[in-house]
Amino acid sequence: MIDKRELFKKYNLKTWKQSKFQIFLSITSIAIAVTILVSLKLVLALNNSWSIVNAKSINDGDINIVTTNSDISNKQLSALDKLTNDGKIKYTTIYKIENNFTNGQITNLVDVKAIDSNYAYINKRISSYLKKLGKHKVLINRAAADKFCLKKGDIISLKLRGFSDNSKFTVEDVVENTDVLDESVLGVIILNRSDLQSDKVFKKENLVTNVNVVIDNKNNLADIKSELGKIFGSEIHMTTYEDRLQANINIEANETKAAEFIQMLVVIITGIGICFTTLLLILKRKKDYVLLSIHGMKEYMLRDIILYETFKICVYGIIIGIFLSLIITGLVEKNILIEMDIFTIIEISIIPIVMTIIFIICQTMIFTILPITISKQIKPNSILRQEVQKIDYTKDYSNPMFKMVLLMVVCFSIYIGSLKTGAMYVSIIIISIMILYALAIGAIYLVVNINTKRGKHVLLAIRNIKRQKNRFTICVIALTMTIIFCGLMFNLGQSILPSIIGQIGQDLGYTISVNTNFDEKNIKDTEKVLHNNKFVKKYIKTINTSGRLKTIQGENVKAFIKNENFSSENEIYTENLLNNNIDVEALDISKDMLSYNTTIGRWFNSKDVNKNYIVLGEMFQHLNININDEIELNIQGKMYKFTVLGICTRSDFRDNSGIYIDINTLKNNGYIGNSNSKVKYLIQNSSGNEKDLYLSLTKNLNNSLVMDERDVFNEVNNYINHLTYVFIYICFISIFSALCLVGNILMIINFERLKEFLILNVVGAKNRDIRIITIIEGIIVGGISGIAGSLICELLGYLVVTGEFSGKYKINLKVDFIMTIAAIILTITTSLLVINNLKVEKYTKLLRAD
Amino acid sequence: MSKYILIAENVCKSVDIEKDKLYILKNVNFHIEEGEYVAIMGPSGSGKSTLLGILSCIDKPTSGEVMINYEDVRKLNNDALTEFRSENIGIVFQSFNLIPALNAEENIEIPLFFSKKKIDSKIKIDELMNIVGLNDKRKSFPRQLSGGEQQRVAIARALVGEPKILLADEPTGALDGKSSKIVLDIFDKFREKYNMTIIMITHDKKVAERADRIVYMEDGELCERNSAK
Repeated sequence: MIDKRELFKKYNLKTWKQSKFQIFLSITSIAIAVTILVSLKLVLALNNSWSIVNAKSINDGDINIVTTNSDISNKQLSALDKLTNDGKIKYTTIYKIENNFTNGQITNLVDVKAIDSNYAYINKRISSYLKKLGKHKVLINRAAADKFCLKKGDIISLKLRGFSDNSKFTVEDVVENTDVLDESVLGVIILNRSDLQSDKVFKKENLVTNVNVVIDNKNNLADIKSELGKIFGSEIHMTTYEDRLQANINIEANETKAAEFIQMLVVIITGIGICFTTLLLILKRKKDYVLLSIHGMKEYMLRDIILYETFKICVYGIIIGIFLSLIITGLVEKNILIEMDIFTIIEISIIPIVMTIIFIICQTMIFTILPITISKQIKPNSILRQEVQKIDYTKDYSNPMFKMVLLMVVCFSIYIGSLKTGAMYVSIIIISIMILYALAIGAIYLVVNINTKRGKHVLLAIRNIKRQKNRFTICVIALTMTIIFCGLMFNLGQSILPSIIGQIGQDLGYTISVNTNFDEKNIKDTEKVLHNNKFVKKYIKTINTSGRLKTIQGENVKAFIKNENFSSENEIYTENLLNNNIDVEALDISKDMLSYNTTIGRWFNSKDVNKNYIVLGEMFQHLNININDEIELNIQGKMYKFTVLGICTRSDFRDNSGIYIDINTLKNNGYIGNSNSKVKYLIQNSSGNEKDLYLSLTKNLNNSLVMDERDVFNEVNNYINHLTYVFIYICFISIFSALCLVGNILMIINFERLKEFLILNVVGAKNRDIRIITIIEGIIVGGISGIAGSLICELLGYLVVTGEFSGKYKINLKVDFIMTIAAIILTITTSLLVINNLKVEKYTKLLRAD
Repeated sequence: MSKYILIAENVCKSVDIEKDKLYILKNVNFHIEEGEYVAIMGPSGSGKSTLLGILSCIDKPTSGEVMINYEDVRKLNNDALTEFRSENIGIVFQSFNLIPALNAEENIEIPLFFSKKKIDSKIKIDELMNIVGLNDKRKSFPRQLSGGEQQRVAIARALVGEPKILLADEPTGALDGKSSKIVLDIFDKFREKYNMTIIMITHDKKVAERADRIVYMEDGELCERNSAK
């Protein structure tokens, strides 16, 4: 007896030509799913792997030791050399300072980093440039090049703080990424240590701000950290690459969550697409299947042949999908891939690709359960008597549906590696689809029941929608989901991010800050410029320094922690917080410019001047500190007593870990100066045009660093810009995927009314009339989807901006309009494509048979 | 052992229409001997095709007993029934029912896909092509064949598995006189050669007269009035 492979070759493969549209849609749906899933998996896998490498680059080595006095002793250098000779580590030293730099009219602070040839161990990205450095050549980063209008080959003059003379340097190259933290805010200049001027006061070798260590693979990070701790004692600050990874863990977790949700969405859309395509193939071949079964094909063979054909389609889709995903991942991650070797890339990619292939095959098989169940309903007698048999959809399908959902949860959970998350996402999607179903069917019900004077085309279109409302509802759901998805992507850049960035000024109370030093003339000049600048609405002076807590509620910190009976975890946290230096921000509260939210108590007002009040940052919540508690604080060697006025809430845009006091409190503290504190002016804008204010202040304040606080979001913006291509590509293929689904459903809808079209033809309707009917259906379905999708999209945007960031959300009518029109055009195009593909005239025998 | 290859005893077929039952076949009793050629006639809606559906094991009776080739088909499950049909029964339809995607030769080969009989498909198809006179149209697709040619392909397909019984539902209904004659001649040839039992539904009295026996159906009941020959 024939087996499924042979039967597939002898029958199914020969019918592919007749059903080329469905086969094309099926293969495309699967290819899309594979493309999205594999590229997402690869991007995440590459990013995860890269983030470890990157964490080492950003940390400047496995361990980065920051020295306190910008130098290290010969004894410490010898100890490091001994560890190197023992094969435990490789190390290099860096001298890194924030330095004023002037080019033409522009003066600003830059990060200057002096490295030597050993730096190749630490940073592969910069290592390729190392040979070019020395002989008064420097590298600059993109931010510095843009800020100071510099390019490769330009000559710059640099006077380093603490050195006597200016030196001339040639810009050897502009580097896109130097791995220096906040490189987009300050510019970065990298030079060779040999170019530092020799001075009698200090030896170049001992001039060290950072010791950067790479650990040999056989050694443990914690052990080496401990050994280094013994060499340098407590007067240094040590960070490991694991600390950097930890800092990014939340961002990565959010990325993974977003990716999982996109994966689930894609799985559902393409899965439903596969389900409908298979169903359509069965419907088209129902007579053939009946004939085959009359001539001996058993029920299980029908099931096997459907599954085998789906498997074959799946394999072709997977091959195309893998090919596309490799191209897309290559384009998206080209910067990362360039810096990784081919074996690492293969090692990282192989598991995601294999997992996705297995998952897609399982998914395809799962979504074929329903069509197989429906195929069993085909009634041979009706088919053989040439009756246009309608599938009875009223039959109870709860069993196969339940099986499909259950298998999907299991399959998706295995794929993403979490049963809880898998079940959660499947549930969310099912609930969302149910809500969308209710909305869509309600909207369709409303539209078809509107009492207006209808032309013949509208009448026929509406009657058909009424008759096949379930299928049209599925079209509306598929399109609405796509509109929501694409709308959110567009709104992210158009409305959501601008609203969030606009909120920064509201939340901080200022948008521009000016950092300057303690020089009295400088302060006077700065205040004069601020006073006379027409763009400045209000400004206040602040001093940023550090302090250490001595007593709380009359008890010393140790006794306080002991008496409060914290849990062991909280005790460590509290000890770390209270026993270390705390950021102190002394503010001019007389102008009532800032007003931060508090969980208990209140923020300062102008009446609180000279009252020694203190407002604590969000970190002090849950430490059992109350308003009116007495706190004693050592600020740069002088003791102060404060009364707690309030404790701040968490802020999305401000580091709220420190404490706030009245600037007048520090008036007579002679220990505060350039070495331990910074003067900062916080400025409110009168015009709303931050760029004008920023430029005018930069021009007039040569000895100060002017910063647009929203620059912190430059990295987010850059990230979003980088992701824009990914979003566009995901939007594009999800639109295509939805179109495949909608196309298939419309095909089923129109396939089942072939006879109606033929009768219309016989009684005088031209092909044009049939097209007009389907266009009207397209307008109704597309219109409902577009409007519903845009409304839901705006609602989600509103919830994100107002709920998460307490901002004001602006509705973007332009995007809504475009999305609605796009939905209508897409449905009309698909309808026309389907009608043209159906070739109604081919089926005239349907009329003869009855 | 009974001399009848096909026995239908008290066969009833009804369908539910709302709360009522509509009887399409009412206690049909029908016996056919091996090698017999029987024509079934009757007006439209009399239940001829339903009876043929039951005899060909495509449909099941609501009640009654059907024995085909000494096998009680009611006891067979779906898969066993399919296998039984494939081994014992060949079916020819009025509207040919060929698979459009397959050519004449491939259409004829279909039953051999599923048959357990060891039949050399090439030899058998050659033989059948010669008998039905379509040697030059082996590679033609259904759309490239005339109605008569399509019906000859359908007959070859019905016979390729060497069934004992051939059931034909108005095999000449869609054909002109010349094509009808060719088709009926082919039936005679096969009957002679393989001693095949043929049961044929027809509206055409001349066609029916070629059978050994004619039975009439009216309102779901069978009445045997005369012998054709």
